Amino acid sequence: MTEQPVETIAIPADALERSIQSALERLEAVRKAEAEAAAKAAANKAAIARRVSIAALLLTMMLSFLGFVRAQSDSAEGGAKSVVQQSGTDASTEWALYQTKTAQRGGYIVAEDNLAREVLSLGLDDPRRRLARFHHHEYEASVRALDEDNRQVFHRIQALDARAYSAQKMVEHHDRRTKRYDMGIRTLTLALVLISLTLLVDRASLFYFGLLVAAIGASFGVSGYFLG
Amino acid sequence: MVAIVIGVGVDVFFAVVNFYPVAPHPNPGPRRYVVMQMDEVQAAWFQTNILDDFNAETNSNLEILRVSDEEQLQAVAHDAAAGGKDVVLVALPETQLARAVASKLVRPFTDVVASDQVAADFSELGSAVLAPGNFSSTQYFLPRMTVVDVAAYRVSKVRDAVSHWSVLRPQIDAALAKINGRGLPAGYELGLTPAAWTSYDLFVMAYYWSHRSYGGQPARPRVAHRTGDEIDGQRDIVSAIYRLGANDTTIANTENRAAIDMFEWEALYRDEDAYPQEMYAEDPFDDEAVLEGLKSGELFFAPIDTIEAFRLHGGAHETAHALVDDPADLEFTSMPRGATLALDGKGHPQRQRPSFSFHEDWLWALPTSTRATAVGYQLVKFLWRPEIHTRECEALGMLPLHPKVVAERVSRFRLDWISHVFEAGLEQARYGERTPPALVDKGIGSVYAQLWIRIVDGKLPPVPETAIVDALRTPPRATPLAVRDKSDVDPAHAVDKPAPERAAPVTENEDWESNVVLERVTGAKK
Repeated sequence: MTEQPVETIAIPADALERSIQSALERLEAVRKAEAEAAAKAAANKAAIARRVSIAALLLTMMLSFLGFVRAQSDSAEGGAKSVVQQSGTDASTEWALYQTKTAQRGGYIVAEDNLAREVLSLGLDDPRRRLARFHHHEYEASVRALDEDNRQVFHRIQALDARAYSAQKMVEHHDRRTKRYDMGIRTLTLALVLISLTLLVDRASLFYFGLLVAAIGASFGVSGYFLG
Repeated sequence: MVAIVIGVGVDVFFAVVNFYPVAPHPNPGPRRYVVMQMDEVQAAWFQTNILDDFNAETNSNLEILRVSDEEQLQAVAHDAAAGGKDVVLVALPETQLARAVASKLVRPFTDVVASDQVAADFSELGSAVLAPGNFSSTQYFLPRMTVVDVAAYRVSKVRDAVSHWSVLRPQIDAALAKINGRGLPAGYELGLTPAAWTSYDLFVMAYYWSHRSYGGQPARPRVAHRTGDEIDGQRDIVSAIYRLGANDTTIANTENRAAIDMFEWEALYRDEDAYPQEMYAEDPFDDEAVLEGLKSGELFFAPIDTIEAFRLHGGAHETAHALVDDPADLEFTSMPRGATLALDGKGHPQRQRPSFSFHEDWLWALPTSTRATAVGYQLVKFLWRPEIHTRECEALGMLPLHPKVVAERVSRFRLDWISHVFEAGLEQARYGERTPPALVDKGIGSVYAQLWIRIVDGKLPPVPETAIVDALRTPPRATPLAVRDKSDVDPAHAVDKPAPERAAPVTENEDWESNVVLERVTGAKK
């Protein structure tokens, strides 16, 4: 390789000094700008992290409280269901009692019919007539007592049926409410996930979208409480 | 910052909700009214078991505004609205619909709810139940209930008649022979199946009872029906003519064969003194009079509607006390089948027809004055839920109409007497017809009611037939059905007549083993 001849340029010393100074200043400015950008990015990240933390805290509290409310509604639904079942069981028991008494009553009616037939063939002074009269009174009194018992049993069944119906309506009401709370919980959970993702992808828009979803979830929860 | 405040607010809300899990009810608003015809006991039951449940479910504030007389319904609804009360519904009988529409007291439900929505909401009921509410080609009204007549009778007295009527057979034959030249139909025996009774069975029992002394009391007539020129009597008399073969076309001619047949029977009853004197009194022998007769034990057989049957029997709900001393002695069946007095060559009735009764449809009407149209509509929907409809039928005696309830009636209505009333009513409804509009619109009911007074009260003889035909040839002028323009009762203080004190119920039927004591019978056994 052959060396190229170096062309020497004469630069004044002060000009050179100024150039160096200028370059150094530019370098300093770039460094400062970079430092400021880094500081700003760090501040922004910290702000997002803070917002996410606050949002997550609020959402977690919301989820927790909503979970309690849902559990209460679920428990009330369970209670109402057990009232429905218990009323049904009680009504069945009462019906069984009613049927037993009705069968008893039927026995007395048949006995009375037999008496009436027998008496037709008896003379007026026949002592069996007096016995038949005695039995007739006895059977009629028993039939009346059974009728009164059955009346009470029937009204108890009516009350149980009405109770079961009201409880069933309560079950349906709580079921609708629980479903609404469930929708709220699911939506709030989704919001929490979206907001948490904001930390990873560092996108503020995702945070605001998460907030929107959270607002929808909270609305479900609130509307569940006021559900008619 | 705003988001944080909102978030904290929502958290606080849910935290508080944990301690108050039931949301506070908003104010149900002003008291609103439903106008219905009911007695005090029925109204109290309806308020407690229907309206209060509805109010709780829908956060409403409905109260019943009761009238004891159906002719007061429109007047009370009108007066209440004029007095500032918001009447959201009125239950009207079909005979009053035209007048209510003409006076603009009511407006169609389709004014406030789309026709499609109405059809969808009540699709379970089927067109047959909705049809009576169709007016001017729209669902003007919504169904409330259908009322049909059934026959109420005393079991012990029917048993007595079945056992002993043949003692009077010669006299019964003689009474009938005056008209048909023969007497009872060939091979006649008093029917042992109440649902298969005919006009002859009823006459035999009426004749027997009117000569039979019970408990040492004088023998007297024990069978009756409603009379007088008002809706109860009109419906009974015209339905008796239909029972003997009339229809919507022939009824317009008063000389129709069925009318002649019916008036022959009625004149015969009068001739044989088989009807109580009260039927000929100036005051109409109406629903209440029949009920009172059955209640006091004066009547052993009479037509009453299913709701009255429940009132009479009692026990349908906790506060429904029996009006009779011995409800177990009360039974219900369909009205006797129609059979002509005239017999054919083989000795059988010339014309027969299955049991018949008019349906009286009642409908919910939406008052023009109401400010809460949605509440009234919601209540009608609530009432047609199968469970609520069952509850009402079981307690008030309304004939079950909801197809689901009708299909499940065996398991839904388990009490014997309740199922007997409903079976008789449904059987009656199967063979019956809707009350023909001409009964009221053209005054046909009034004409026949007045003819009944002319022929039966006028003691026209059943034979020769020409006397009856002559009377029918010159029908009287119809009088319009009474619907009062103004209420003459204070609805807030409307009370039924107090029930008279009754003696303690007897505990047994003292006639069960006694010898039959007959009165006013020539040649009868004593």
